Amino acid sequence: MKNAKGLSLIEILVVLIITGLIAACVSAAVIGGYYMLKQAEHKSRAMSITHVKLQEYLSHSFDNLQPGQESGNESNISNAFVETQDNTYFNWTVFIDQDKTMGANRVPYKNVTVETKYSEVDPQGKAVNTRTIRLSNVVPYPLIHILSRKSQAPFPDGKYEAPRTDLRYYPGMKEEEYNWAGILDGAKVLDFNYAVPKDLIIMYNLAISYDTDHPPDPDETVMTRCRIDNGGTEGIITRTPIRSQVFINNILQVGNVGAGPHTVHIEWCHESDNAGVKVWLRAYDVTVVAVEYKDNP
Amino acid sequence: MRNRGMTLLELLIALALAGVIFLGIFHVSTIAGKQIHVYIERYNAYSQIGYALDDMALRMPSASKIKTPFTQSGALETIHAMRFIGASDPYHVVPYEGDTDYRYRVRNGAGEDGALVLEVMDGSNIEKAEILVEGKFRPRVSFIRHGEQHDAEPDFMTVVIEVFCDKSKAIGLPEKLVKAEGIRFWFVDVVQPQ
Repeated sequence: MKNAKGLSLIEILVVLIITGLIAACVSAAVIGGYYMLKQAEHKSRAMSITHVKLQEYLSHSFDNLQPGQESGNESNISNAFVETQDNTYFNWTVFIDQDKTMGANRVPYKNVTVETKYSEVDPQGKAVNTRTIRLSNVVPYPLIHILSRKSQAPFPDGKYEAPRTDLRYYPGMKEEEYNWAGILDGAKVLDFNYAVPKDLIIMYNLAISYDTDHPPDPDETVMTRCRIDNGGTEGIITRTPIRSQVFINNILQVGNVGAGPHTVHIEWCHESDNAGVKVWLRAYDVTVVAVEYKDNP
Repeated sequence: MRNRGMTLLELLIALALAGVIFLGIFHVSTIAGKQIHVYIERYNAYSQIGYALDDMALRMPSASKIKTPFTQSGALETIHAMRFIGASDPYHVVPYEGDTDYRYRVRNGAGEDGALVLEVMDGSNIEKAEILVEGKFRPRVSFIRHGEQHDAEPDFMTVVIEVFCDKSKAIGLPEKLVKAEGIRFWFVDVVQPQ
């Protein structure tokens, strides 16, 4: 009687095939886990590179960021990135472009975008995907600008002489009646050009000297004022006695100065009946603090 | 009558096949186990690097004084420790008024554990220290300034942290991990001319 117990060859082959399939699935999970780890590490590396470059460009001032693009690779960050390369190469590109906000004032800003690209490889080492990490941020137009000019060295006596008048200034006096002139022989003290309307705070300091052989009387004074472009007097006009106060300073506010180029003029005049008395400019410094003008108070 | 059971030959073949199969399973599980250890170690390393860089990005920008400044503005310069005066509470910064003396460094002196630490200093004494990256990863920190030929601003530098995961070699991964962060200082320049 045929009553064979045990395993036939076919059964063993089937068991082997099933075991092989299970082993293949486990191996796929193990190998797949390895490549998933590498993918995650590559993404982290690309993010690190992108973030460093973005921070680097955001540290630039608004004026130093020129529209355009620049490229590089990991070696620009640090040699440590080069030493840890594993046949995946990372290349970054920075794009800078300029735009303006909506609204009446159209405030400019610069958009900085950093892209890092890298190619992923499959288990056979063939490049299969190009991945991109992209980060973006803006650098806004500065809310406050500070501009300062000063004389580099004391001026020699006689270089800049104050114009003289024997009249005494009074409010409402006509321009042609008095003898105002710029402290630098009519030249502007400084100029500026902002992209948005600004409120200005202007501070100036003058150091003066006089001919000690012909000193001014104790009651002789120097008048100073500030003008924007060829406009009227801004702020207050100072009257300073020459003998007792050889430093003149003034601070004034000018509101809603329009966008575009402007010049600042500091003017003076020496009130004296005596033509032999000379007053000279020894040194000056002017500072303009420009704050973005707000439409609504 | 035929006897039930296996012959010796069948038993030997079955044992051999089973041995091969179990060896394969054992090998796969060993590799999987190693991989898991390596993944955990690398995850820990990345976490610690990330924590260290986040701490630096939090404390350093509001520094009111740099005590280990870069001295060259026109060249690549790298230093391996950074000491500065910063805010005791980095979430409550008063401009230019830091009150705590901080130092980031790797403790690689004789008898030290090789960890990357944040130290709070009191003169030359260390008041307290916090480990950011454990010494077992052999961390290295570099504070890098690329200089003006790269159009770098004087208030910007890059921090690079490298660590080593020794077990990674076992499964064919690179043992060195590296991550970087860009730090822009708000109140001071990191370059201080000599």
